[in-house]
Amino acid sequence: MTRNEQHFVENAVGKWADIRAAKNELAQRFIHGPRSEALKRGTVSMLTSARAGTSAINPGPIGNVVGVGIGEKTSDGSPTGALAVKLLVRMKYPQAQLDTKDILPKEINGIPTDVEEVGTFRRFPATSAKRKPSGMPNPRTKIRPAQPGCSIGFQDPNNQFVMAGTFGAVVKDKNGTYVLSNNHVLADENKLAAGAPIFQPGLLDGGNIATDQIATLTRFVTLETQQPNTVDCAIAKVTNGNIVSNDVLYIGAPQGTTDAGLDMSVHKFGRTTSYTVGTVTSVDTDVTVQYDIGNISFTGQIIIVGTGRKSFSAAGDSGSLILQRGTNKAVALLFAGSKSHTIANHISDVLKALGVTLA
Amino acid sequence: MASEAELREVKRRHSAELLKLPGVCGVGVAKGKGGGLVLMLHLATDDAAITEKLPREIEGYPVETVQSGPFKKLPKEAANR
Repeated sequence: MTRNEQHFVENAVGKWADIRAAKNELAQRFIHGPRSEALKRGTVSMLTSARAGTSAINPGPIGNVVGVGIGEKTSDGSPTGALAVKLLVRMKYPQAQLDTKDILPKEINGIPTDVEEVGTFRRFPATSAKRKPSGMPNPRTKIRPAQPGCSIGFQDPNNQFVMAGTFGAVVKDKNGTYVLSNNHVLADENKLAAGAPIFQPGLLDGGNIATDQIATLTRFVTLETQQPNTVDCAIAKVTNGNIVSNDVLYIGAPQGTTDAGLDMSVHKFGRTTSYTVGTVTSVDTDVTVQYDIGNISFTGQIIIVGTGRKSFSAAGDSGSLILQRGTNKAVALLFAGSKSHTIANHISDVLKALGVTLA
Repeated sequence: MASEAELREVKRRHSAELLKLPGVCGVGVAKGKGGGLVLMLHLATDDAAITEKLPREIEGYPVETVQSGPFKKLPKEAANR
């Protein structure tokens, strides 16, 4: 037994009743209390009280605390050996962003608390062909109706390579309904002509040319090599209105749009990294990005870094729609990045340049 | 402390020239180490010979750097079998 473990056990034996009492007090306050009765929908187990919910996230403890339990306190990501009352929240907020009344207690009756972000608890359907054991859908499979977040792509006319990117959103204008993604995902960097077929899944992911077409390329915003760009986007008209759904995989349908802001918490579902969460670190950055047709510059881009040292995106996520957490308002279209940083167009620039709206 | 609007204007005036500097792949307005807004230079290299020459301030506004690039478009491609 290590020193840390021994300390943990002694601590646990001596204080177990006190910790249980402290946990029950906070569970009563945040989970079972009269003010939260309307929100409560979960089950109560012996050690952890949890609540499932679907309403928008706000920083008040009644909506944000989704579980109260007992566990080891961590500090800066490392276990401390001390037991604490764990407060499981949908979203952790910087203390500076919170009203004083919304700040969670640091301790309760002398027992320390530990706040951990767990997202929104959801029920996991008992059986569903589309879901992996983790509860996440697999975006690289054939999905009908096709949903934003899944693999899509074009066919190289010379059949030299196969590729895949991400279906970002369903958009519309007076002439029809379209799949939205990047120019480089639907039009191969200005190379393809209107009418080119778009497949789901992309051919890299086993899409079948004979059976898996969902749309045809309609138009793109030309990527310019000699002057700055603001967007990398294109639309492809669906082969029929029932072949796509507005619901982004795992996340759900976008609820309109809003402007990205510094420190905004965002999420996306993409073909390669699936569901990821990140923070906006800039809404006005000019970048140089490597393309097949050369280095291309973009002005006024959004920069996002992943939460918890995880990358927000990787190759294959191009075209993903990025939404504000909590509201699910669309803010950006992902198109480029590095291991550490993701770059995205403002969604308002994308929709305006293409003359479309979210469906 | 500089406002976001001020820094965006400074960025607009200088980004084209800054993006031409070797190793610089991004120029933006972001929070710096101290929490205030700065001009953030995204770097595609950690070569000190290059990074040492970068400006520490522009028009009196603070400049910071972050290793982040090079930036690439993000489709997944593979040779056809």
